[in-house]
Amino acid sequence: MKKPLVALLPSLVAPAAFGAGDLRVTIEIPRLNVAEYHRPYVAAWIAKPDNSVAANLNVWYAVDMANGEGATWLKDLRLWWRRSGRSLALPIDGVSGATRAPGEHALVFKASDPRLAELAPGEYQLVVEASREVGGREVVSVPFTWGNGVAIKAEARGENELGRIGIEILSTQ
Amino acid sequence: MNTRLFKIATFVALSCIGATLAHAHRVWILPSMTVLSGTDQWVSVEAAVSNNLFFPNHRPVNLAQVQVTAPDGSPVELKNATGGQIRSSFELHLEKQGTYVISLRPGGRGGPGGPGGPGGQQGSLMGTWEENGKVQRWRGTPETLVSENMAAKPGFKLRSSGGRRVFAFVTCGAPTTENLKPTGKDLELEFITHPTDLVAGEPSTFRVLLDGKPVAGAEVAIVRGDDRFRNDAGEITLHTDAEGLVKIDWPVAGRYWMEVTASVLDELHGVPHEKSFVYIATLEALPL
Repeated sequence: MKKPLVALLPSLVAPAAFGAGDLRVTIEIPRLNVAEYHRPYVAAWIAKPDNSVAANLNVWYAVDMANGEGATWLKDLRLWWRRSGRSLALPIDGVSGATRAPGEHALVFKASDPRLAELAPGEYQLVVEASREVGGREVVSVPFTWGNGVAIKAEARGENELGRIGIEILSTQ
Repeated sequence: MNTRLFKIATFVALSCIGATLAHAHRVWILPSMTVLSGTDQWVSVEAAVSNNLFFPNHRPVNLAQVQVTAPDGSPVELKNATGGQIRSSFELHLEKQGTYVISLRPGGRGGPGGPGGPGGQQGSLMGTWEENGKVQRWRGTPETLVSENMAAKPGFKLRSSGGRRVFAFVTCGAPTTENLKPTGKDLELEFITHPTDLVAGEPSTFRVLLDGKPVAGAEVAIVRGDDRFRNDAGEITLHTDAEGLVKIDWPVAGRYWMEVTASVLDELHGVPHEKSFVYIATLEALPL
């Protein structure tokens, strides 16, 4: 019974074409056995060494709730809220999105995306933060070097609210 | 036996007036949250005079002394305000994005910081002198100070309270500073670090100002809430530096009660006079 499910996964994982210089971020939301489960709010961004935000990649929240009520809990993404969320006008096109179910989610950002095209070469961290209603909160960071055309493949694992967090860039050389 | 004990207790209590009365009964304003996101948000606020932080167990505050300003400085109406037996409460509708300031102003009989209220006695003078090796005490006004010729008493000294102001801060969206700007009057804080942007493990810096000027050596005491679940309240006492700055490291995330005290020495009708001011704020340090 399990095999077909596994076989199905790659098609779910790679929804967009992934080419040289593109950035692929993988966010795993673990399946949790808890009495009351709500999909987590998740933010992912690229941070500079001084912790300032170089680019917001995504924020998944209850974006469709009436009267923007879903924004009430954005402050629970405490780090993201402090580093950039509170200064942004929401929702943000191409960044805001609905919450997602447990599983692995791959996001592809094209090399031509202004967030990447305008990213100066240097040291960065991919930061992913998850916060769950009546649940926990977790932040996972993956350091990476950007801009020399060299392939990048790195990952880290969360312990509770996040699973595998991956970052991948194909070489342009 | 009992009479003597009572006398000793009375003496200790009297000698503490002014210096530590504020510690016996702590005044606080406690918002349900200090950092909010979204629009159309509400917070509930409790305010009380109590011995434990932040549990009402003594007296309410006078709601007439509560002032709330919106991020643009306009007044905010207290919603569902209730003056209870041991606490006061109200709610605030945060219709604008930015920082709201909730304060308890001195004044009003029976209110904290006001005449007849705990720790206040604003405008009234307390005098001491020594006669026959015993400390003598006097209470009065600038008028009775003259009419009773108190200046003739040997070593006569005066103390008075410049009032006690109590604050709390709530931010919806990005923090703003419009209504946080010092007015140049009484004891105030200049927030180098925004009061709703406090994080455990990151030092926060405030400047203590008296009548707009930095105060060196002002005492800044912080106590984390839930003290009734600890044997040692763990009060941290700091002092401002030469520029009036104090740097606070919040040991852990939580709600903190902060009390700043400063005094000025001058003369009143030729008598040395120490006027002390108290600034209290409830602050929330978040985990990062």
